Amino acid sequence: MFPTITRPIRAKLERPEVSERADLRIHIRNRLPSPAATAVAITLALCEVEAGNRSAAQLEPVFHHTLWAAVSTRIRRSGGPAVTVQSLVRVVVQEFTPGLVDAVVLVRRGSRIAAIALRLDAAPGHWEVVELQY
Amino acid sequence: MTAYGPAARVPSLAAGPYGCPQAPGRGVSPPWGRGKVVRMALADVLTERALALAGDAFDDQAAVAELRDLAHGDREALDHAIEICLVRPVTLATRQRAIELLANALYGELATGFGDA
Repeated sequence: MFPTITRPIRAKLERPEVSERADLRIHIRNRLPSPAATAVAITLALCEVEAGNRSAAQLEPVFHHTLWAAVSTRIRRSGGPAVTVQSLVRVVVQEFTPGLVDAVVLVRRGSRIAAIALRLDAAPGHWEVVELQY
Repeated sequence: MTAYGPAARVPSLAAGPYGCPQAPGRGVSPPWGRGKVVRMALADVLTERALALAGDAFDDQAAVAELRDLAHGDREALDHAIEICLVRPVTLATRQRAIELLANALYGELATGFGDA
């Protein structure tokens, strides 16, 4: 059998940026909103872009710029399942390091439940997506 | 000739360190502190199986069916396994697929295509 796990899309962080983020993360974390709500908002927005109901440009600010370069070519702009009030099934969040959150959002797409995994990193003023798997 | 008699060749199992059950550290039994048998909760079993299937399974439908069969209708265990999956120290990709398989076993049926509405 062949493994079917797709390769994750990660931000390419340089060494100075990694250490700078690690220093800032703890101080910024307490001023940020709930990561679960943020993960849900980003995921549903992503699904809406795929359904053709939202512009992809609206997602750009929440992604790390190196990640967005990879994601923007992968997201389709139309033809995806419509997003309704029943689309969100569940969100599971884990914060191993303060300010670095792993979230998996379960979304109903047709009769299938799709899981969209995000790694959110605390950035000044907002949560920033540094890894995406869907 | 008497030194090679049957009694000399075969030691008595009832005597010495070869008795049954063997004392810890004697014969082939493991020493104390090693080789424990730990009872796993169903949620842990489901988590381990989902993580293994996340890496190996080619067919999602078969993997979901296996998890559903393993759960024996215990929805609470499936629900708990989803939360445990995210705690395990594996890659985000593996956790994502394991949770997806568990969620499909818990909440819904698998469709044939991704884009069908």
